[in-house]
Amino acid sequence: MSLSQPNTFSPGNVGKSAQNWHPQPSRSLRPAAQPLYRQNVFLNLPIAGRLTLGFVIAALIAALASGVVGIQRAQSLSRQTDFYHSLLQYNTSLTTGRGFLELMDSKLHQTLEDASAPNPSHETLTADIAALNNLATLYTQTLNNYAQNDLLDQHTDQLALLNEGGDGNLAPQQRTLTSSTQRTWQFYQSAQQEILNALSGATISSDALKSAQLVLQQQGEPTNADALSALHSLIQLNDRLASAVDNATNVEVHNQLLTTLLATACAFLAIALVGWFISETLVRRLRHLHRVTRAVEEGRINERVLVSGRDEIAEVSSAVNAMVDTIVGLLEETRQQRDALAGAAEHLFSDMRIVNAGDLRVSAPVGNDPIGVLANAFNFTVGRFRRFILRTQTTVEQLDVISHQGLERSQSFISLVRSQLRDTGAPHSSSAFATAPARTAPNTGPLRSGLSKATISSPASEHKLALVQQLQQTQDTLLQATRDDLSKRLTVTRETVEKATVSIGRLSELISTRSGTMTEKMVQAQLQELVALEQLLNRLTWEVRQTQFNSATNFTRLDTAFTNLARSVADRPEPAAPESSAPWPSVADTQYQEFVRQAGSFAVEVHTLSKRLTVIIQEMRGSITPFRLEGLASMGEPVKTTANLPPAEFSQAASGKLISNW
Amino acid sequence: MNSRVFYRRLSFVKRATRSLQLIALALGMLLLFAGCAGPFGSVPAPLSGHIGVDGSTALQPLVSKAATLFQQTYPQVHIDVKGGGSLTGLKDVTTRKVDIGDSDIYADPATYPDPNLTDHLVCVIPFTMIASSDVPITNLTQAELVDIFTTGKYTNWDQLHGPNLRIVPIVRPSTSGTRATFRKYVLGGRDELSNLVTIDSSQNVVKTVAQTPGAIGYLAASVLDPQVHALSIDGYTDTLPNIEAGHYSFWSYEHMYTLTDNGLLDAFLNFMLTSQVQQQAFALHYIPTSDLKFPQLSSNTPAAALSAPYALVERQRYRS
Repeated sequence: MSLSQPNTFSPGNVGKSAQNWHPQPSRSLRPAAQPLYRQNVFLNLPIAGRLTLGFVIAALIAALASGVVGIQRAQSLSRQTDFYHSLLQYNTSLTTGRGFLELMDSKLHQTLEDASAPNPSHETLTADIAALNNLATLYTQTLNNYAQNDLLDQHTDQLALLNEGGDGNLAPQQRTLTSSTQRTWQFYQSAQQEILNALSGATISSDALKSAQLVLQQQGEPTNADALSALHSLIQLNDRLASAVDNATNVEVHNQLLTTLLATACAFLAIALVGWFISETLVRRLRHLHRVTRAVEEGRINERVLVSGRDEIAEVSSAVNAMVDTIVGLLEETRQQRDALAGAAEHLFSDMRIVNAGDLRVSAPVGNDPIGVLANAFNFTVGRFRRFILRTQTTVEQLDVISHQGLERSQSFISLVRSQLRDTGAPHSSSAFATAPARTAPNTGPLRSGLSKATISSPASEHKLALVQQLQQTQDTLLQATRDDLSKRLTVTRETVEKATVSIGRLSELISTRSGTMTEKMVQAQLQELVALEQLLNRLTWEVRQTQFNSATNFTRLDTAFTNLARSVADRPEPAAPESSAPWPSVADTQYQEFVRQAGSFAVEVHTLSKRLTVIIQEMRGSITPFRLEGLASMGEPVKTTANLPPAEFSQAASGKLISNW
Repeated sequence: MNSRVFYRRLSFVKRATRSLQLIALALGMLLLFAGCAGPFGSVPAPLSGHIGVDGSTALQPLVSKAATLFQQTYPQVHIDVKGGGSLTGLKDVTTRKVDIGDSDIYADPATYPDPNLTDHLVCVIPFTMIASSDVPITNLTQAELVDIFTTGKYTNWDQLHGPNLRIVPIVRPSTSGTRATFRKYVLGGRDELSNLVTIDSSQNVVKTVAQTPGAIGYLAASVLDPQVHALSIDGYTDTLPNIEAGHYSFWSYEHMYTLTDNGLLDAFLNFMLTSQVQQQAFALHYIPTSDLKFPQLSSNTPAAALSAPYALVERQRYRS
């Protein structure tokens, strides 16, 4: 809401934000630094270094995994190759052994054939026997070699390979077949030896030859067949060994696949873990930073980033903390300013209330802030107003004094006239004249009573009647001027002043509530109030001016009336004298002259009085003249000229204008 | 403010979706690997089928016992064990009438030249000479045995310091591996007399010898029965130490020859070598191959040092 319309100020929003900005007492301004992580040395590395480290570790893990797989594969291949190589060797040696066996069989037959020749060559026989013995020795060596070196039992790695393929039982079979080969060889060798023993003599008897042939037939050939068969089985075992190695290879390939899979999974997990770890050292704190900035954005200015480590993020976090600290300081300062402003406004408001109560002696303290400017204007207005009221008061007092003087004069005039009348002898009318004004005097004030007494003092003559009428008119005019119009005007003025006070009160209230946030709107509102106040003051001025004007007119009329009266009194002394002398011929000339003198002096008094009144009115007009001139010029102007100005400049300009206007 | 919250939620969902995609990709790769590994890691199908075995009656008790045990483990497998003699077994396996030919003797490469004929040594069988219970003699020399069976020199037990009782030699037919072994290792390759009583199986030899007064015969130790009593040869009985030392040569490896190669046969032949069957073999008076020590060959002292039976007989003969 506040984001979409940042310039609208609803009272609820203002209250909420003001509440949010108040420091919460449960938390200290800067929370104690709790370790966000346990002390992590990685956080002290710069981000680039950390990433490099992460990549290097990941690469190491991958290399390790592939290395393990590769080494396993290489070892397996090497074992297989070794095994096949050994198998080839075994096969070659055993096949050679079978060649020996077959050679021995044929050589034995050839030896017997040589021996059964009519004249056997001893040398040939010896060579044959030596060859046979040699073959026997070679075959024995072959078998012994095989039994001692080539058995699976002596090659644990080969045995392990076979066990992997599930063909571990080939080892005991090989052992058994070997022992079987050896046993058959033993029997064949003994038979062969028997034959050779029979033929080894210097001369070979026919019996020995027969015996040898018998042994060869009955014993040698079957045992030779057995030996060959046993050896054949042993050679066949190599085939089975080869297929077993093949099985083992398959199993190993499968195992390698599993290992590869496992290594891949492990490497994946480990690399993912490294990546997660590295990213966590970045992302977590960045999120924290983001959270804190959002919290500050939402108004919780007490939130601070917990700085851990010494990398770039830590630097940024510290910078953010410092920035928020600065902002909070500024806010605090602003708040203090606002409080001071509110105090000043409150003071101004109380001053206004005092003014409203009628005490115009106040003087609001003036400062540099807008409230001070307002106070200055207020002081100025109140001063002007006070001076105006004082002048009016003085004027009224002067008028009162004048009226009193007039009363005294008229009373003395009346008493003179009454004594003259008493002297001439018309007591009835005198009493009647005396009682009638006495009844009316308390209501009309001293001026009227004085005048009425003065005006009714001429009883008979036409001249006197006209004078009385003229005096009556003057009295009425004066009464009207003093009572009706002036009082009405003063009432209106008082009401206007009350309105102005109320307006000032509103203004001060506005200032006291909004003085903390002096924005454009508030200032505009204040200005509107000020304009209203100004209008009121203008009206007041107008009313006062009207009063002045009316009083001036009245006083002018009064002056004219008195002048006429004076003139009529002065112009008609001749007709008056005869007339006055006519009804009262008995009256002494001195008395009449005294009366004339009194009347003349009265007229002069009234003349001077009216002159003094004119002077007073002129003085008042002079004092009120600035109101009239400047008040008309400032009507409605400030709102138009200052509507587009920013608040600060506006207030400055407005205050300046207001000051200049007043 | 609301729109911002919505955006953050959206971004969270986006992030979660992305990480889920990543995990799914990784899992897919793993599954791909597992799929590659599948054929190698497949479990072999349960064994089933038929195995025909015949041949040596000396080995028959062990093979029958092993077949029973094997069929208990694998009920789908049916093993048919018959006798008939070692040579019958060799002949039947080379003509593919049976899958396994039991034999007490080696298959002569000249007779059975098929290179695929494969020898599986399952155990050692000691043979022993037996006599009917009314013959008190417990020991005969090899020469005396030659004279009884080959030359016909001894026909009455009193010639051998026994009771006056006619010697009735009981022999096996020519298909018998026991007979071949007897000829090769006891008679020194000589033929038996042609007019002797021939019994077709080792089991029947026990009965016949027990029922015939003065009878003498030979059989495998596995079928030896208390009805008859065993004779030592040259003072040596058919014990393992005597065999290992070379004093007693009337023994043989038991061969199971095969011509073809399949999983079922491999399984059964391997089963024959398991300790379970080997223990049965020991109980049946066979000698497990693992028990038999290695004979040490010596090129310097050939036949003379050994008890070469033929040489011994011949020497005695020529001396006499």
